[in-house]
Amino acid sequence: MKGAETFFVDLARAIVNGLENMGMSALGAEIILLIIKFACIAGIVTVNIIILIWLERKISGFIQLRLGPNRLGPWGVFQTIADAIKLLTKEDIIPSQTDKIIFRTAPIVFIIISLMLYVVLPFGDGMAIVDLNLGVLYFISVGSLGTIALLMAGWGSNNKWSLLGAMRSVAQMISYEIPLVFSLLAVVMIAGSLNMSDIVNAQDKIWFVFLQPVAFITYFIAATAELNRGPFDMPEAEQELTAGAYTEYSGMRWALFFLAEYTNLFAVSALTAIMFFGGFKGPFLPSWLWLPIKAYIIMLVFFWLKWTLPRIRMDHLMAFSWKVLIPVTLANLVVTGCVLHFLK
Amino acid sequence: MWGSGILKGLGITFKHLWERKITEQYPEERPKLYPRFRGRLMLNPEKCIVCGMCVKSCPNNVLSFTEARLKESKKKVLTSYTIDHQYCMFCNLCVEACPTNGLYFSHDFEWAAFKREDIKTVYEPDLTGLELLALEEGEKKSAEKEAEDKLLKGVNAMIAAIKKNPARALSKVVESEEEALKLSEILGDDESKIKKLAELMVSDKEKAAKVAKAFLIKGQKKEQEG
Repeated sequence: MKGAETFFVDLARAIVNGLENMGMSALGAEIILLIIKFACIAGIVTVNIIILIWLERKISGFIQLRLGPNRLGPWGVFQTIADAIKLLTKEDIIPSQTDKIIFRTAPIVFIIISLMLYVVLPFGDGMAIVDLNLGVLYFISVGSLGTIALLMAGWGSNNKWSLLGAMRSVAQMISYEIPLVFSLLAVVMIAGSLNMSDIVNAQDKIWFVFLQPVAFITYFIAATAELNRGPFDMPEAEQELTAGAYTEYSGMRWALFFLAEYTNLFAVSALTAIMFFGGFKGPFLPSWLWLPIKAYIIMLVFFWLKWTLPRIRMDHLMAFSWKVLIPVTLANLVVTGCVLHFLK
Repeated sequence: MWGSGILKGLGITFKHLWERKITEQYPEERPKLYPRFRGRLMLNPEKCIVCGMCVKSCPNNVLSFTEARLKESKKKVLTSYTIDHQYCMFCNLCVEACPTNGLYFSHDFEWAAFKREDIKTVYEPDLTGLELLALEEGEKKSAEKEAEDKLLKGVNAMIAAIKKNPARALSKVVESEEEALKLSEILGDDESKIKKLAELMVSDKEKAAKVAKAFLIKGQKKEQEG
C-alpha cells in the first residue's frame, strides 16, 4: 500500500537520480523529467477522451432508452477509436473565403490552452507537475483564454453561424467567468491559499462542499456554462447555429476542438473535486486514484445534466448570470468574509 | 420550491438510465411481426386452380401467369406464375380474390436486391410426367380459330335467311318492312353485296344499318334516273 501510494513520486525521483548518475546536470535531468511529465499528460488526456466520449454516448443512450454504441468491441468500447481513425483520415477541407492563418491556428490554440490547465492539477499527493503558489489563479486565467480560440475559429471561418456562435460563446464565457471566480474565491478565503495542494490539504477534516454549499452550486452552474455544455451549449446550439464556431471545421481540426472540449471537461471536473471534494484525499486507495474517481463522478453529473435539461435561451442565460449568479456569489463572499473575520 | 423542476427532470432521467432499453438489435433480434403483417406476396402453386381472379383483381398488374391443359382430364394447370413485387402495393385484393387461399402475404420483409429483376418471383411448377394438351400459344390459336369459325357460321346463316325471307331478315337493319322489301329488290341476286351486308349484320349492326341506308339511297337514285 505504501509503495502504491508513492509509486509515481518514487518513479520520478528514480528517473532524475538515474539521469544524474549518467553524468547529467540537475537542471538537465529536471527538464527531461518535465518533458516526460508532459508526454504523460498528453497520453492521459488522449486515453481519457476516448473513454469519455464513449461514456457520454453510452450514458446519453441509456437515458434516452437507447443502447448507445455497441457494435465495435464489447459494449462498443472501440467506437471512439474507430471515429478517431475516421477523423484522422478525412479530407482536410479549408473553405476558400476563410482567414487561413486564424482558421488553422484556432484549434491548435484551443487544445494547447486545454492542456495547459493540467499543469497545476495535483493528481496525487505531491503529484502536481508544477506546484504553483497561484495555482487557482493560473487555472482560471488560462482557462479563460479558450474564449480567444473560439473567437478566432468563429471569425476566421467567415461564416455567419460561426461568428454568431463565437460571439455567443465569448459573451457567455466572460459573463460566467465572474461568478466562477467569486465562487472559488470563497473557497480560497477559507483555505487561505491559492495553491491547489494546500487547498486539498485544508480539506483534511471536512470537504469544502459542506462549508460552502452555495459557492459549490454557483460554481457548478458557472462551470457548466464555461464548458459550453448543455443546458448552456448556446455556442454550438445545433438547431440554431449548425455547429456554432465549429461549423466550417471538419476532420482533424474539428476533432481537435472536440478533444479540447473533453479535455476541459476533465480539467474542470478535477478542479471541482480539488476545490470542493477533498481532491486526492480518500481512504484505502492510493491518492492518485482518488482524483480521477472523483472527477469521473462529477463528469457523470455533467453528462446527466446535459441529457436532462433543455437548452436555455440566450438572453435568459445572460440574465441568469448577471442578475442571479453574480449577486448570490457576491453575497456569499461577504458572508464568508464576515464569518471568517469573527471566527478569528 | 425553486429548482424543483430540475430535480424532477433529473429524477426521470436517472430512472431511465436503469430501465430496460427499447432498442431492437435488428439483425440478431428479429422484429415481432403480427399475424396479418403484409410481407412478400407468395403463392402456393399446388392450390392454384388457374382461375385468373388474382390477375383481374390486381390494380397494378403485378401478377401474370401462363397455363396449359392436361391431355386426359382437360384440367387447367399452371405452367408459370410471375409476381413482379416492385409494383405491388400490398392492397390485399388478390389475396381476397383467390378462391382457394393460394395467395398469401408472408412475413418476409428483407427484400434488398441488386437488380430490379431480382425482386420478381417466378413460380414454375414441376410438370414432368404430365401430358399437356396445348401450351399457352396453341390454346390461343385454337381460340382465335374458333371465333373465326363462329363468325363464318353466323354469316352463312344470315345469307340463307336473307335469301329465304328478305323482308324479315332485312327489317333488322332498316326502319320498316317496305324498306326491307325495297332493299331486297335492290340487292337482287348480287351475291357479293348480300355477303357484305350479312357479314356486317353479324359483326356490327350499326354499320350494317348505315350500309343498308346507303344501298337504299343508291337504288332510289337509279330508279329515278331509269
